[in-house]
Amino acid sequence: MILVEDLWFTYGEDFILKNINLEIGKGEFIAIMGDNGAGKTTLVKHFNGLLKPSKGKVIVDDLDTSKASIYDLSRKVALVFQYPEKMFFSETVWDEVNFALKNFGFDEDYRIHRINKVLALLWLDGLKDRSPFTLSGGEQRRLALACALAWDPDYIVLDEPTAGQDKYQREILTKIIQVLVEQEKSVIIVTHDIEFVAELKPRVVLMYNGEIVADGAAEDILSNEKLLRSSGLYPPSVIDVSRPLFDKGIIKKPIINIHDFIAALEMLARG
Amino acid sequence: MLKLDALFRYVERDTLMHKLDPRTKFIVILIYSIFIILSPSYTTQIIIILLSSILAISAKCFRNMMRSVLTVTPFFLIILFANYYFTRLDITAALTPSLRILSLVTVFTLFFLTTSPDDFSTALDKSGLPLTITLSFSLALKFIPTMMQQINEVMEAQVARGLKLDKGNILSRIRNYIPILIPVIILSIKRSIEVAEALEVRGLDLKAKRKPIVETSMSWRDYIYLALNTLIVVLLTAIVIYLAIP
Repeated sequence: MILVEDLWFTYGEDFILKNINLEIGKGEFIAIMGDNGAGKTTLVKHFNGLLKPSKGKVIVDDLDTSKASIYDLSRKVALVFQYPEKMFFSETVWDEVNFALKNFGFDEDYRIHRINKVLALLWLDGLKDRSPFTLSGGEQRRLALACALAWDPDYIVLDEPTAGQDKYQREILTKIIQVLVEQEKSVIIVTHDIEFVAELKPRVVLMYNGEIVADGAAEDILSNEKLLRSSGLYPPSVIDVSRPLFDKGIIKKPIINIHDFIAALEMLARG
Repeated sequence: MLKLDALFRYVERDTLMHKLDPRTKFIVILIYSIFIILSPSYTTQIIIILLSSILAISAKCFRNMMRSVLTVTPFFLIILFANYYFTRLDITAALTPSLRILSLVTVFTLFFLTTSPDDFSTALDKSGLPLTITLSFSLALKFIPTMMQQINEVMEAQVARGLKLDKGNILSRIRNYIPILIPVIILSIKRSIEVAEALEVRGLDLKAKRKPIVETSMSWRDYIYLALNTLIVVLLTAIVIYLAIP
């Protein structure tokens, strides 16, 4: 469990995070949302100790992040930054995934087993000997994810995973995240991609100006237009259609994604 | 984590040091740099460090300067110990090359902290050097903070993948930096190409005659500052030559 208690953070002048209280359970799927500069990335950097609280504390399982090393915390919490493909340096895809496994000191048999497993999970098995730099954009993004999943961390934090990705890659990403959630990994995505979140329907933590302004089910938060707009976000596009239908009493609740909307229409058609 | 991106960044203040013409400040650091590199005396290096500290206090950016000094302290110590240990000289002889680094850093930091990159490029333009040189130089300066931020980002990303920078003996510690160096070099090359293309599509013409947006001019303050500093360096040189202090 990641426990954030009364967390305040500053680089020296203004507080970037103010009074953050958050509990992320094992196996939970959660999206931290907010406008640019809301403090999303600053918050998740506390989960693996890259940043230490100015006030309050962050506890990961039994480790207090202000005392534990980044190394020990990273073993539990994998943090995948925005545009992670920028950080490649190895000659082959295999070596790139192997890097973290070597760092964490796993023996060779386990490393081979894990690399094969994550490359298969991310549809990269045929690319073992390729240079990471020659992969396509989507493949690179998946490789970065493979690198983070390699050492089997309990918590996976993805910072803006959909940035710069096309619809096809987003669908693949959706499937991968669903697999991780099924495996009872805690998946934390940091994003302002509202359609992506509406599709996956995780628990949503909404941040604005360094504070948590809402925390709850995706359906409740993403259908609350006033709340979203005051946090610098726009509601998902399906809301434009489902909101008038809900107001007229045709459907029971405002629907946030297209699949649910189609399902609701089918229900209506059947009567 | 080190906060690298704040180093050398221009600090906007309203002080005498900030008002000086960038050319004046540049000539002064050139004079000092030549002296620092040639001077065999560590006492003079200490005097220069003290002088630039006093100027930094007057320019209200002493704390920023200390931050860069702290960053280079490991290098300072390595050079100090290497000189002391390998050449089996006494500590006074080892102090000169190590303090040389420190004094160069203070002098240059003072310049960058008090001179806005824009003023500096204007001054360079006026110097009469070809635009290819002045433009690359001022662009390089402007990209120092970006570069530092980039290094920071890459470091954070690799540390999150379990990289331990301070593990092992000196050789393996150097090797630990490979996963940071390679991405940083690749990103810098990519960015330089992008910047060049961006300048070209926005109509940069290297041959055209240019007129600066901001006019800079030397005032009496500049001449006094220049004269004073030249005097100090001449005095220091005289001290080194005639008194032969260590």
